[in-house]
Amino acid sequence: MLQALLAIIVVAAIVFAALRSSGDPTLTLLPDTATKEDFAVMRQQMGLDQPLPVQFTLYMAKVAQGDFGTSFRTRGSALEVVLERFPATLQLGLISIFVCMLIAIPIGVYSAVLRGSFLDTFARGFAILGQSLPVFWLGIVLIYIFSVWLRWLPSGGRGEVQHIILPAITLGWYIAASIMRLTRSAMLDVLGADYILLGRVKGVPEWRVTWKYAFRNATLPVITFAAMLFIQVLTGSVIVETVFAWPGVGRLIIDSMSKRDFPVIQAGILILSAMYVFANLAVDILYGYLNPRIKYGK
Amino acid sequence: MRSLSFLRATAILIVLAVFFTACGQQAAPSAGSGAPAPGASAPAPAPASKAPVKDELVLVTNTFGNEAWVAGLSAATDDWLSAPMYDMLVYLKFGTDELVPGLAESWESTPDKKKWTLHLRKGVQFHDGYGELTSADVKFTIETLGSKESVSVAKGYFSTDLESVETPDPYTVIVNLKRGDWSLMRTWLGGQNAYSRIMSKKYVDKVGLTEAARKPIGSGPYKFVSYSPGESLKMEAVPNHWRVTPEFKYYTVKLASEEPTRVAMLKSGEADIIEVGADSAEELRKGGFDLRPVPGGMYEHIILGGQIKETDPPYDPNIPWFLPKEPERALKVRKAMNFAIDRNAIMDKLFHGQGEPGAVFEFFPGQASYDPAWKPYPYNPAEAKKLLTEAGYPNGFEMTMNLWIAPGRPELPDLGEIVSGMWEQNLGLKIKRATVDLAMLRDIQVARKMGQGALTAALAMYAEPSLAFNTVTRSNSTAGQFMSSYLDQYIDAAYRELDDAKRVVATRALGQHLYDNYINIPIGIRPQVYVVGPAVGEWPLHLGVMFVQNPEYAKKKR
Repeated sequence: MLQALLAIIVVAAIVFAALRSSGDPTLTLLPDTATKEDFAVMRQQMGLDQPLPVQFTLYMAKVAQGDFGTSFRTRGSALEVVLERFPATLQLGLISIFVCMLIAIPIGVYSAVLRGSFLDTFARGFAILGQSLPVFWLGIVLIYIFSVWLRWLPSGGRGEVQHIILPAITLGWYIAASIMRLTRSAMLDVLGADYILLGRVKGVPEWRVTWKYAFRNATLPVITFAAMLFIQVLTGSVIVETVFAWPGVGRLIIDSMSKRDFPVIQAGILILSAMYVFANLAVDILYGYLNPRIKYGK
Repeated sequence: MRSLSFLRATAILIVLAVFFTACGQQAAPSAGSGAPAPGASAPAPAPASKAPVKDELVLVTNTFGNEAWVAGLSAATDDWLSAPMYDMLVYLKFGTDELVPGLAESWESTPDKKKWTLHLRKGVQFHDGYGELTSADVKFTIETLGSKESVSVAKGYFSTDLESVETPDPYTVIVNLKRGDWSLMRTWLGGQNAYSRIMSKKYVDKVGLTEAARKPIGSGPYKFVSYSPGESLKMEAVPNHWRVTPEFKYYTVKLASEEPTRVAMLKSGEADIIEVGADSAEELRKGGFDLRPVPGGMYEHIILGGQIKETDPPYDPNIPWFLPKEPERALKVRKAMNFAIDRNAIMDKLFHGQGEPGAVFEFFPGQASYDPAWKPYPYNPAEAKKLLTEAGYPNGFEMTMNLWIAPGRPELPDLGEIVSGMWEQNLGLKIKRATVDLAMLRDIQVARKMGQGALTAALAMYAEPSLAFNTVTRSNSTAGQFMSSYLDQYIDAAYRELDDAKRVVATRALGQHLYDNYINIPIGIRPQVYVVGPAVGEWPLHLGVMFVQNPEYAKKKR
């Protein structure tokens, strides 16, 4: 836990320093017509006239109390600005991961069980495509096919259920490909084990051998990967969010970077970093539950 | 084996189901074969011959600015996006530069233009029961614009040039300026800009400016319904509004920063109005969509950096096009750089013929100060090379071309690449490209450190050229698109002239100076273009306003 906190503080420091070296945010916030005095006053209001270590210390002291600062752009709480966008990113991430797991795991399992079959070939082709097609390109093509040409689905934005289908497919194909390949690989490793052969010899039904014995032992790497992938989805869905005008955190951070809205960028990255670190922690704990042989030392 | 057969059968069934479903739901009439590649001319579904009846007008824009829908906290973009929810003191008559009454039914000034008296319209009500709009609200709005917290474009003006605002009665406002200014009504209190959207003082005092920015209360023809951050802003028509009752019951602004997404939304019917660059506009025009050009246009140009005062720290007297100690030599370089550009080819190929080559930056044909004798500089590469050689640069010189990536201006980097290519080919210049966003550009501008570099830029038409120059190119502008410190005397002579006829003469002298001395690189004038869907009929636009405007006046197509 202590290591996790330290990691977050280090991330905060790096982001803090990097942002302040990227330029003066008052230059983008104030118009051409502002005077030099206006810029100086605004810098003072934002605390940017203080030395960097002082700024960082004050910032972290406030963060410890839950105050992530005020957005330079909207003048609202930076934390609220970020949290407002979280449901959209979470929705996209969760649905993408959930649907992908639902599709990719069974395909991965049966691809391993029926190795060399048509399904196996199809699955591997699906995976290669998913991992090699650029997300940006895929999103635009899906929009043109399903929104413009067929008029089945909306092109962008967030609203009803149909709005999430294309973004989820675009994001999910890449995730599904990765999970499918990992599941297949893990299953192939396990299916060759002696206890699997023993189970078959003893007359255990095939589906039970596959799911209860083989899959359970193949699960560990898949779960670890899926948990990390979920966080990567949250942090890296900016391309999909941009293509589909999905109002998520990724897009917010990119927009904020162009406007040098430091508090929002810092809040967004801090929260995502914290999620990443604690997700790692959660996976470690889950490992212990799933595999009783794993015990963590003192 | 049984599992395998089952899986095979299932797969075949799924493929067949998708195939028959797709065949049964063909939507595009005579579309091209296969899915279009992204970026290519997609087979656009032709707009329906009978306009769909719809109650909602949807604009999809590339940026929400500061997402602050209230004066003082908004950038120029959100000024106009939220303008339908407010009223302003004066407006431009559509397509002209003539002022017409808004909230101010009439106005007058003292001869020295330092004191302006505005007479307000009676009975204008704020939405949601916040009472009648009075002089107190006008005073509050103006003072907010000039306050320390303001980030409005009008901040600099109202914080330095405003003396005081008096409200002798609820329907009279007296604006006292520190110096006479003919442009107050036209520029700062309405007209070509939407800075002064009059807010309800009562409402802002109650909830604070930050909250008012998220849930605005105005008096305009549309009232606020909902706002989803980063997503949409929805408004509803106010019946029997004194200015206009909108035909579209709802007006929604949505955000999609990627142009292909906006184009797709228009083609699929999810958007009624979009902003696009020249390439997409041409594609959509061929696909049967209507283009709506904004009267006036944008002036595409290249700024030559480094032409700053000796007292500015990065002053460099050795920049080939500057050379303050050898002005004739520098003039030859600037002339050469201008002659080496084929403006006709740029307007034809880059802007698809939408527009024409320009002669003098920010002077538009038809303006009173425009001289018809000004012709675009000729494309003469041989003469250009000769001039550069005479100036002492037979093998060219090194420089940087700053390619500005600006939202809504996708052509600027391409323009910079094209001009760089022409200079490399025709003059032998060695040009390093540098991509800059607004933040990086501002840093360069404020520090005056463009040096031996150039910048691609575009500026909308101002009511008068001297306004533009005073705002963005004067040597004391903090972050202006600075062109030359030696222009100040011409700018002041024009902008500060209160007599209209004399101001025209002085402004023309400014233009003549620019023209004779090749101060920067004018490229061409092209219209800001919006593309509309089949639901949109007549939609009047203001002269020179480069942001989406007047949805309240848009008519349904019948």
